[in-house]
Amino acid sequence: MPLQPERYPARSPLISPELEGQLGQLLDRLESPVTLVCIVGEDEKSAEMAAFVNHIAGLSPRLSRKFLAPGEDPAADGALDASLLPATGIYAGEEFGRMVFHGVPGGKEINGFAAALLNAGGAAKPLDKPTLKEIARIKKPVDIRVCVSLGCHHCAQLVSAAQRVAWENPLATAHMIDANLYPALVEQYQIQRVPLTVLNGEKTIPGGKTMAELTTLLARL
Amino acid sequence: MAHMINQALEPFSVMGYHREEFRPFSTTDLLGHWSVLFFYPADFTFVCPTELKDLTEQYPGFQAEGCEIYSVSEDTHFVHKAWADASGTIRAIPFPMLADPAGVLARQFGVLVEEEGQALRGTFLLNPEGKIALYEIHDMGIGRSAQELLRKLQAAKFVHEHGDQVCPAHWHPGEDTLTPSLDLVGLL
Repeated sequence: MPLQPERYPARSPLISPELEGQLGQLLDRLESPVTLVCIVGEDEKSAEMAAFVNHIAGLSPRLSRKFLAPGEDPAADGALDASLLPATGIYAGEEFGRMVFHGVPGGKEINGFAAALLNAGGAAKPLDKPTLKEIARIKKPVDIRVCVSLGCHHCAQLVSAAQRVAWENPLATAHMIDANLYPALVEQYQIQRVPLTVLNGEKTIPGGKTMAELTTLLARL
Repeated sequence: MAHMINQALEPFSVMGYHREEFRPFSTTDLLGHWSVLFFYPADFTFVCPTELKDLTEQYPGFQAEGCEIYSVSEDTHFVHKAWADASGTIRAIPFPMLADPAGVLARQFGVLVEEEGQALRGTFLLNPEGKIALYEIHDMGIGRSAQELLRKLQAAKFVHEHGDQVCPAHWHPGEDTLTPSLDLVGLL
């Protein structure tokens, strides 16, 4: 039995009337349907994210949402990595946009989340040709995981860049991970400062990066 | 008041006492690796040995980070030796004890109290290029923590190697989600 959106609150306390107005203004720009696929557990953060997704989805007729329990859709479990719940993937209609959020994108991370929606909805700011060329130079599959804390502006910029790379290049997938929710991850990578980017589960890169720095790194993999 | 961050070490040469031997130390000894200059008022005082003992206990951590410690007072190297001969704590110090009776180093780092001929409790961390990465200066009676200094060294090394595009992470599991803060300008 699929999880029904009504199971969760329709509104999130994280989205104030002012923010709702700002998001509404942004989401009016969406040109095509965007689906939020959210894998949720029974934990508190999953319920918080479900309400957040419900609230956001109600701000534009072009947005829809789908809630899944872990194990319900093995393909989604794999694509979104259901080992880190809640996991929310951004889809362009039915097509996976390779942009995933683990945790609740509060604080500065709302910017990356909004940017991902704009990417998938065909409403993102256009990139210049040199940047698109750099992104196209990525020739090998790359899984980009940016471990963040929600108050870190360096993190938000990097997440937005990584998500854009993933949107533009089908070989890349970008995950934002609110490391505070996943102590085992913090322990595994000894994360004391953020952002920390993990590429293909192996290479770690500390610190903020511009789009140009990121694409240079990825092209060298 | 001007700050001293990123100021470069000026040329100097002083005598020092290290592992029961006297030898000169100069600018070049402090280059090519991280260095701590640890000023204290005078040998044969009470707070100083506890601070120096604390540094001795944490010394392996500093060595692991590729950092050498140099304690400095306005005593001569002969007085350092006499203090080491008289105190097991001082004898156990594994790092060089620099002698600055002319105040060359203490003046350079702005910690010399001229009328007393003693240095304030100043700690200066120099990067491998000999530039000041961080410093703290305490009044005479306020002691310092070697453990905290080691943490700062690790942070300074990180920034030196990776740039300053990072935020410290203080993990508090169960913390409330931060209220979203949207930057419309960046998105439109």
